[in-house]
Formats: sequence, structure tokens, C-alpha cells
Amino acid sequence: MAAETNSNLLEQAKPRINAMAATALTVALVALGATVALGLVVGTGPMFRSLLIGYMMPFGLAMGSLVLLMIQWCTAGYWGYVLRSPLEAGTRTLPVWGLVFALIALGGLTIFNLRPDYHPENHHEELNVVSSEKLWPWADHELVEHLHHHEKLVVEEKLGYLNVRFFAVRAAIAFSIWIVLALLLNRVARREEAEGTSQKLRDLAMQYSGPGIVIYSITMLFISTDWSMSLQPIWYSSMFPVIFGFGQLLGALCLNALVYVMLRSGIEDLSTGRNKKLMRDLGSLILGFVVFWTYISFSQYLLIWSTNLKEEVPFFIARTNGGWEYVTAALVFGQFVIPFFVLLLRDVSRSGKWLARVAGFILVMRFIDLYWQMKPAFRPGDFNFFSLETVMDLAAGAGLFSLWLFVFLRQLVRFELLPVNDYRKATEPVHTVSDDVEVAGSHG
Amino acid sequence: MTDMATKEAKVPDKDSLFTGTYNFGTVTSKINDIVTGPTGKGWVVGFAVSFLILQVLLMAVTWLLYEGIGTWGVNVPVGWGFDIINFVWWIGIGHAGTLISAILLLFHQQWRTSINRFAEAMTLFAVACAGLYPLAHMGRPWFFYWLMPYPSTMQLWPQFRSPLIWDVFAVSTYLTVSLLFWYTGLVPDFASLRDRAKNIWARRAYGILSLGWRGAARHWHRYETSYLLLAGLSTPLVLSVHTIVSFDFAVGNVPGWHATIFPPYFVAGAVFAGFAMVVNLAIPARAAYGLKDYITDKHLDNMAKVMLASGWIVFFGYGVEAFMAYYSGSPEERDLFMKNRAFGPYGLWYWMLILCNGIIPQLFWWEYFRRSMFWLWMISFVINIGMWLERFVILMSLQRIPWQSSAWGQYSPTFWDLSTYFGTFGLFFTLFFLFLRLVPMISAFEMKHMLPESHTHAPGSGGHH
Repeated sequence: MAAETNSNLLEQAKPRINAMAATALTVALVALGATVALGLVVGTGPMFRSLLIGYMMPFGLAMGSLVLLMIQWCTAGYWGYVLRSPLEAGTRTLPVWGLVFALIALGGLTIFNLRPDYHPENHHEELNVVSSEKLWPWADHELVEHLHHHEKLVVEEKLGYLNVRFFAVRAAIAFSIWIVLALLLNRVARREEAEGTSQKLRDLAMQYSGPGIVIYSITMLFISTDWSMSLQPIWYSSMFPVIFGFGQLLGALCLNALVYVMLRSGIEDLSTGRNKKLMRDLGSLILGFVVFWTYISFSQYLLIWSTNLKEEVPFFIARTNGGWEYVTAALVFGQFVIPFFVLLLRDVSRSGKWLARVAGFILVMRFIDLYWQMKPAFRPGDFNFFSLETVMDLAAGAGLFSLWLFVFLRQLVRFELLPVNDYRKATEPVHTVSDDVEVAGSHG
Repeated sequence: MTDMATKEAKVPDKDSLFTGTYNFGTVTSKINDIVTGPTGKGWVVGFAVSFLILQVLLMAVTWLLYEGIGTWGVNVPVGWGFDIINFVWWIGIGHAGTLISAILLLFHQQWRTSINRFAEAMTLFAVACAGLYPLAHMGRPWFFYWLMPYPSTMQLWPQFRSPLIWDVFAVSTYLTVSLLFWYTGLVPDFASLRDRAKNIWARRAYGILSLGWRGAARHWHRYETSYLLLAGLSTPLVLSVHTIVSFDFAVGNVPGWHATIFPPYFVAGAVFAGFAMVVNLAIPARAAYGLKDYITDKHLDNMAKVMLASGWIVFFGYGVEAFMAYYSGSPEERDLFMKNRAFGPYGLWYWMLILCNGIIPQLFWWEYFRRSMFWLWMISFVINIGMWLERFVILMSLQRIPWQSSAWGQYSPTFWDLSTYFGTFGLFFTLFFLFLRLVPMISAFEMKHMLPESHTHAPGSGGHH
């Protein structure tokens, strides 16, 4: 009976998903075409920068899916049952996405600047080291050679770690590990589909997931340092890998909440029974994640601001001047204040429509957050919304996101949308005392 | 009553959160009899020993007030020693209580039910021990109110940029909200103690404490609303208190302290240490009072899993610190890590800390170690030592930074440092034994929620989840 409903769900949602995938592919082709065209006008250097920035958000969604998938195996919450299939689909995008990174990184470290006369203006040399020859400034030996005394000393000290060969080895190892983890977890899912659920299979999934989460955090320490933090080779912050990794979880959770609501609206009633509680739980989870993101981001800001060290504080000077202050403010409101107060209203998080809106909004903010993290490394203290470069950034972001979405949606329709043999299928979210309580002013 | 009594609880399996055959009446008796029954010999001995150790604290603090801060090993240039280490250690331990009572409640985790009261009490006593250190370190603790912003005739105003002032607000809020949360949860249980009290004084005392509770529907409604609101208020406190404690170090502009990862890494450490302490207390208490049906192996198993998870965050934090010391490219950061932390005079402590907090807790990956009471207790004990070493290493490695010879200094604790630390155990356990004797250590009415009878509207939902 339940299996039938599941198949029906897939059958009913399939045409919609396929249509969305087709749209995503079209958008991807158009936007990436526009990026290349703009690249020929503005310069290939800025184009590679746009591509690297645009790459990060979908990469985060894929990696966030992998971690959430492992977390749900360990914590066994009911939300894991309904989000599992989309999460698994997200992890299956990793091989393609590894390839995309290889292309961007290869381009960024070799043909980066096809127009030799192109040298981006850098009005704020004191805020960051910007290379016009390589995507990552530490790879530009000539640049490092000509740095001022202190900067040169610091960057040279890091070259044992920040060099192209070691960088490539780390990326290759990380992707291999993640893809193997994704394969193993997907294999468990396929076996469960074929054989039915068993304690043995659950134990196996947990044996992959527990160490998998640990492995994820260790690999992400290096990857966040390599791909994003090292764009500002002087700057360092031990909180940054945490912010980078946690942003991936937040993004993946919002994407999956959105997918859940979109696939079901029109097919089932999202405001009753199982769905009602699920909506509330997803709302609380997103709220908790938003608060934690704010907590770690603010802590990093406070500590760097108060200490005011010359290696650290340029990171924030670059992001609070020359137009960037508006982006910073947008982040404060968009990724904290607005979602926080909207999700705090219980009624809102119980309604699928509103949950989807908030999740979609946070996903847009995720892009802005990553843009804010990376773009000022190339244009410290200098942001012009109405420039071709910004248009190219947006085009690359939209293009790569749509490309990833296409791969993801194609993976999503391959298997059932609700795992047919999951052990949590028959269980309902536990009813607790706090469910019955109605705080004045909020009606359940 | 009789038909309820005949209702059998499910056959206990190893994942049960409530085992044995109980009904509403026997749950109340089992828990309240510990309070209303005769005083056990074990309790008298335990209390007497704790009270004796408390006298050591009294002596140490008296001597400190008489003689001055010089009785401690701190001086220029090493201004912080055992006082801050023990302050951070004690306050960290308190976090498990808040996490269990607030966050697990909001996340609908049933396994908080039998351990929450216990853990919350531990929080209060640990905060009491922690609060003593900064108070005593003032030298003139009777002027503690100078830390508060009030319009004084001396036009004295606290330095709001100092995390030490933030501590005042963070810790006092924490104490207030934790106390309210604990007390609110106790009101219905105080009422049933009032009704069962055997002498008039006990009845009056519990009567006052139960605030006229009669168990009316309106009482329950208000109770549950306020409990949920307090849980919501407590949740940010789990993060805020230890975050601000970490700021005490991280705002300081010195290598080894100024690490932006400190806030979440300190919070994880606090949860890690707090759960270890809950386990250290729960295992003997449940054995002594025969409460294995209430605090089951599953509870302890879950706590071990929380320790494994939070322990990994802490261990990851050590790794990030080491990596960033290298990656910073700063000779000061590198020297600090290599010459004063991992190697050099404090190397032994550092590797002991890695062993206690990083390596040994990995045994919790295996169910055997999570379910064996002996190993669980031992590993939790080791974690508490490890967390103390962590604060010791963070503090000590800094005291020998070789920038300026005028800032060189060695710290070693004096007899009075050691006896103050030893004495706070007396305070902690004295309060803890009083709690065991005077207050129901498990929330009786919340346990009743877990009985099959409470779920008559949902047949088949069983006595446990």
C-alpha cells in the first residue's frame, strides 16, 4: 500500500521534474554561453574568477547532501526518511562536479589570462594580493617575488603547502574519498531497495556514516583553505573552515526542504498528519542552522575586529568598504534577521508554502554569502553592481547552478522519491508534551 | 488503580528508556521514597566526607581574604593560573544540564526525561563552584557589584569592551535561567512531596516550595507554557556562556589564544566534559538508589554517543589549531605551537591531553564500551581529566612566550591553589548529596508520561519510544 503511494508519487512528479531539468539545462547553456561571451569582452581572468565563485554554491549543495545523508543515518530522525532520496541524488552529482572543478582549476592555473594586456586595476593593494596571471595568487611566483617585505615573508612560509602540485593532490584525494563515500551509501540504499531493511544494513550505513562525517570535516578543512581562504594568501582564520562547511549543510537542508515541498504540493496535503509535523521539524532545523551560521560568522567578525591584526583585519575592511558594505548588510538581514523572525512564527514553519519560500530565499542568500566570501579577494573594497564583471559573476553563478540542478534532477528521477524499505516508514514523528502547548499569540 | 497495576510493561529490550513494571502510583513512590524515606548510611558517609572537604575550601578562602591574592601562585607577569583554569573547567561541566533540559526538549528527545533533573542540579552546583574563582580573585569580593553598570557616585563604569564584563552578564544570566528552569520543573514534584510528607515541617517546607500547586488543568497549562518558554530562553545560553568564556582568551591579542575557532570549540568541549560528569555521577547514583529501570543502559549509551560526537569536534579543534599555526606563516604562532605547546616544557601535558580527549574516547565507537558500566565510567573520568588539561595547556603554553624577556614567567600552583580546587569538590558534592536527599532526583510526573497508561489515546504506541 505504502509502496504503491510511493510509486504514484514518482510517477506523478516525474513529468514535472523532467520539465524542470529541461529548463535547467536551457538556462545553464544560455547563462554559461553568456559568461564566455562576457569573458571575451571583460577578460578571461575575471571569467575564471566568476566560474570559481559560481562553482562553490552547487559544490556546497552536493557536499552538504553527503553530510546530511550521513547525519540522518546516525541520528535516525524522521526527517531523514523523507529527505534521503533527494540527498542520495545530490551525492551522485559529485563525480560530474569533480570534473567541473578540474576544468576550472586547470584553466585558472594555466590559460587564466588569455589577453596579456589585461591587468585588473587594484586600488587597494594593501587589502589583498591580487594576481592577474593566476586564479590563486600564491601560484603566481613572479607576484610573490615582488611582494613587500612582510607579505613576502608570510606567503613564502606557506609555499610548502600552497603549491600547484600539492594543491592538485589534495583536491584529487578529497574528491576520491567523497565519491567513494557517496558510492557506498548509495549501494546501501540499492541493497535496501532490493532486500528490504535489516539491522545489518543499518549498521553498515552507520559504519560508513560515523567515520564519514569525521572524514568530511578533515577534508573540508583543507579544501576550504585551498579553494577559498588561500585567495587571500596573507589572511587566515581557524573559524573559516567551519563557516565554509556549515554553509554547505545549511544550503543542502534548504534545497531538500524546497524539493520536498515542490514535489508534493498538489499531490498531498502538506498541512495535515505526518506532513504537518515534518514541516514544523524542518522549519525548526532550518531555524537552528540559521542561528548557528550567524553565531559562527559573528564570532569570527568580533574576534578579528577586536584584535585588529594586520594579517586578519583586511578581510573585513575589504568587505565593508567601496560598496561591499551593502552586500554585508544584505547578508546580515537576508541570512539571519529575516529568516530568523519568519521561522520563529510556528504557523509559518507549519505551512509548506512558507517553508518553501524561506528555504528558497536562504538558497539565494547562500550564493550571496559565497560571493561575499570570495569576490572581495579579487576586488577588495570595490564593488560595483552595475558593471559587466558583476553581470558575468551572476551569469556564471546561474549557469553553474542550473547545470548542477540539471544533473541533480536527472539523478532524482532514477529511484523512488521515498525509500520503499526504510525502517522509519511506519513510524510517525514522536508526539511530545511540547506539541500540545500553545504559547499565547501562536495558534497551532 | 488495581487494573492499572496489572497492566504489564513491555518486555525490556536493550534500547528501552524505561524498564520494569510500574504504574502511576509506584513511579511516585519509587522516586519520592528516596526523599521521604529514612536516611541511608551511605548517604551519611558521603555527605560527611564532602562536608569535610568543603571545610578545606572554607579555610583556603578565609586565608586568601586575610592574606591576599599573593597566597595563590599568580603574580606579574603570570596573572592567571588555577583560578581561570578551574573557573572554565567547572563552568564547562554545567553545560550538559542545559543541553539536556533545553535543547533535547525542543528536539523532542525522550531520553532526556529521567536524567534532566539530575543534570540541571549538576549545572547549578558547577556554576556555584565556578563563580567562586572570579569572585575570590577580585581580592575584595565584597565590591563585586562594581562590575555591574550602575550610576555610582564614584562615576565608576565597567569596561564594556572587556570579555570579563561580558562574563559577569553571561554567567549571572545562566545561573538565573538555569535555576528558574530547574525550579519550575520541580513544582509539581514538590507538591506530591508535600502531600506525602510525614511531618509538619517537611509538609510546610514543600508546601511553600510547591506554590500552591493542586494539579488543576489550568496549573498544568501554565506550567507547560512556562516550561517551554524557559527551554527556549535556555537554548541560546548553551552557546553563549562558553562562547564568552572562550572570548576571555580569544579577544586577547596573543598567539595560542587568539584563534577564531575558539567559540564553537569551547562549547563542544563544555558539552563533552558536562556529559562525562553526568555519567560519572549517574552510574553510582542509579546503583545506590536502585534506579536502573529509570536511568537505563540506553540513556548511558546515548550519553556516550554525545561524548563521541562532541569529543570529535574538540579533537578537530586541536587539529585546526595545529594546522593554522603552520598555515598562518607567522613565526610567533608556529613557535608557540612547536616550542611551548606540542613540544618543550609543556609537551608532556599536551600529549596527555590528546590521549585523554582525543584517543581514549574513540573507544566509544564500540558498543561494548558504551554499555559496560566500568569502561563508561572510566572513560568519562579520563575525559574530565583531559578537559582540565586542555585549559591548563591553553593557559600555560602562553605564559612563556619569548617576545619580551620582561614577559617571561613561570607559574606553579601553591598549596592554597590546590586546596581551593580540592575544596570546590567539597562544595559540589555537599550540594549534590543534599539534592539527592531533599529533592526528587528524577522528575516523577515526566516519567509517568512515558508509561503505557499515558498513551491510551494511541493504542499500540507502547510504553516507550
